Amino acid sequence: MATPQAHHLFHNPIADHSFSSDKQTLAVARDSNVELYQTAGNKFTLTDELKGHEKIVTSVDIAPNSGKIVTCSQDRNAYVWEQTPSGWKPTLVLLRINRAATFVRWSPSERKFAVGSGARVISVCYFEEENNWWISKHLKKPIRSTITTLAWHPNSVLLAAGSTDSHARVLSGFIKGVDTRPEPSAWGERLPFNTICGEFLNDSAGWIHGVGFSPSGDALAFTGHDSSITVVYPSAPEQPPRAMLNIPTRLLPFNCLIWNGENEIIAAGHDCEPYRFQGDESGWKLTGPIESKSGGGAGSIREDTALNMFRQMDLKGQTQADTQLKTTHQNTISTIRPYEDANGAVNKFSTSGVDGRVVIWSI
Amino acid sequence: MPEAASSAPPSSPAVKLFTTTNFLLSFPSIGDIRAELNIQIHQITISSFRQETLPSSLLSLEIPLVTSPTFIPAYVGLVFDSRYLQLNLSYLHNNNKNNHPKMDNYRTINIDVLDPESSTNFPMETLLPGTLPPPLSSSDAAGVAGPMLRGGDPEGALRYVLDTAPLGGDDRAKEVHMASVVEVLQGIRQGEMTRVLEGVIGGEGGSERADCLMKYLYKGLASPGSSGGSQSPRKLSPQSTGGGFSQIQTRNFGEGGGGQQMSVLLNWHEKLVELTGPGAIVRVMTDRRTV
Repeated sequence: MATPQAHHLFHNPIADHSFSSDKQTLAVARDSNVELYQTAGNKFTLTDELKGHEKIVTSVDIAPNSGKIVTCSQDRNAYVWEQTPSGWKPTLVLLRINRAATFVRWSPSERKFAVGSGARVISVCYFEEENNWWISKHLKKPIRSTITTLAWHPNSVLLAAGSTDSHARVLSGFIKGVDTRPEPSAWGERLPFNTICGEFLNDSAGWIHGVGFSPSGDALAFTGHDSSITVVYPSAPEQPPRAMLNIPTRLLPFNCLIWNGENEIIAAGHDCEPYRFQGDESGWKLTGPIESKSGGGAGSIREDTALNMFRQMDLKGQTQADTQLKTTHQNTISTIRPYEDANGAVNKFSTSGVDGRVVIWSI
Repeated sequence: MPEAASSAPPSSPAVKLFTTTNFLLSFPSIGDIRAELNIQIHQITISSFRQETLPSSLLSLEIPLVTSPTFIPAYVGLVFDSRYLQLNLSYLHNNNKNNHPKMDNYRTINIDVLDPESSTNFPMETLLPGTLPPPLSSSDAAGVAGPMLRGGDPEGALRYVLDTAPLGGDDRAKEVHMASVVEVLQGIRQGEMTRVLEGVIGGEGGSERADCLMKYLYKGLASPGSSGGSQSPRKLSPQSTGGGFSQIQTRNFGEGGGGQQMSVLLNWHEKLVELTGPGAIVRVMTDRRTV
């Protein structure tokens, strides 16, 4: 495995990051702005700032094909940013919520996006040509608490949502006139708006931090604050799932996950490094960290020799400089995204976290 | 507006909004009660009425509001505002018809229970998995685990008490079981701990047992010690939050005799964390199936 490519952008937490499809542009949510970086050789340089939100931006997503950027923030608004010759032009999207917007993702079709919020609703937003305006429809039932994370099914109709009520749900975000009727699947056959296709709860019931459909869309994985990941294989509409596998770990909780093919999941979180899970319907297991720390990790501390120890004590009055982690990320990882993939198999992925770093990993 | 408090007789009941549709009256003395409640919310008056002879054991009376349940939530905002709320209570105590005290402690009403959006109204039972074992009201684990422990099978004893944990039981069953677990933990020699632990948390269902043991360790560390694992259940601290998010029980370091138990539990904690990592600790915090 090649060494991960780490970019230390600034000393602020990164709430979310997103690469454009050509990997030339990187959008990063920093405080109440979104910063756009361009690659120049092996470095990222700040080229643009999207200013408009009044409070902390919680999520950002670049549509791979259209290049439009959607952002949402604690000020309860979402903006769709389009590039014009005179710069990025924002369009306000009225989400009709009275709490912070927490998470936003474009659907794979890019004709709509979903925004999770603290108002216990998911706003599914789509563009109405005749009014030249973004409309939002609310997915309300049976959500009982803040939506923390969302993921779209490849068919752009089904939506997985994780919530602080410890449930991961699969709901239909079908919009008439925007979506074509989806193929029937194990999740459901007829899928009008707000159909509940599944509601899943772990035994140890932590807040859900991350959800994801497998590349085929026939399996769902979610991770919660109980330091576990759960993989669900649905059987048929209205039926209990064929298999629901919970993999408790001895690690700190994971915040996010992605699928790599149907038999591998990469999850990262409070342990500051990504981990790999492998398995199938009959069982999953944690296979280990992706990062090999044999070389001591990037920017690691030197060997703790006696000389070094006394020098530290003499210079700084401390016995050990233990603020440096052995991992590439120096703090919690909050977002993981595929960076380079083909047919559902991920070759490279990117992570960002509280330490202000964006890291690109090759598998 | 309420009259001067001096008009209230010394035996006036305390009135509390109990749920969105019920009021709870607590009476300072026993007797023949006829209670009538008039609530005026912004020009609309709701009256409720109930007459009952309170048995000697009961000092409170619940009065349902004769109104549709949807009515009150619509006026929740108004209830907060004393300008719009007038709560008149007239009641009859010991056949003395002339007492008509006015309700003057409406500021102590727990307004959170009136707000359907409030976190105190979060249905906590939705966080319990469907696979929860049926509720038990007692636990006889000590009867099985005790002989196993004395018979030289500490691993089997610990495995048994963890497998039979009354996750769905009531507080009493949990307390009794807790005492059995502590007894088993205290009955295992320090040198044997690691070997026993490895056996218990290995194999089928091992990680559940590890999580369960961690719950007992934290519960034991959080509660005042009853040394020797005596069977008398300790008095539970009152759960004033009434199903809120808090799992924390009040600590009492003053009650002596727990020091030795604490050190045993801390020893177990150290050994368990070596094997399970921080994951099990995190799950103690998230899991709603308390022990």
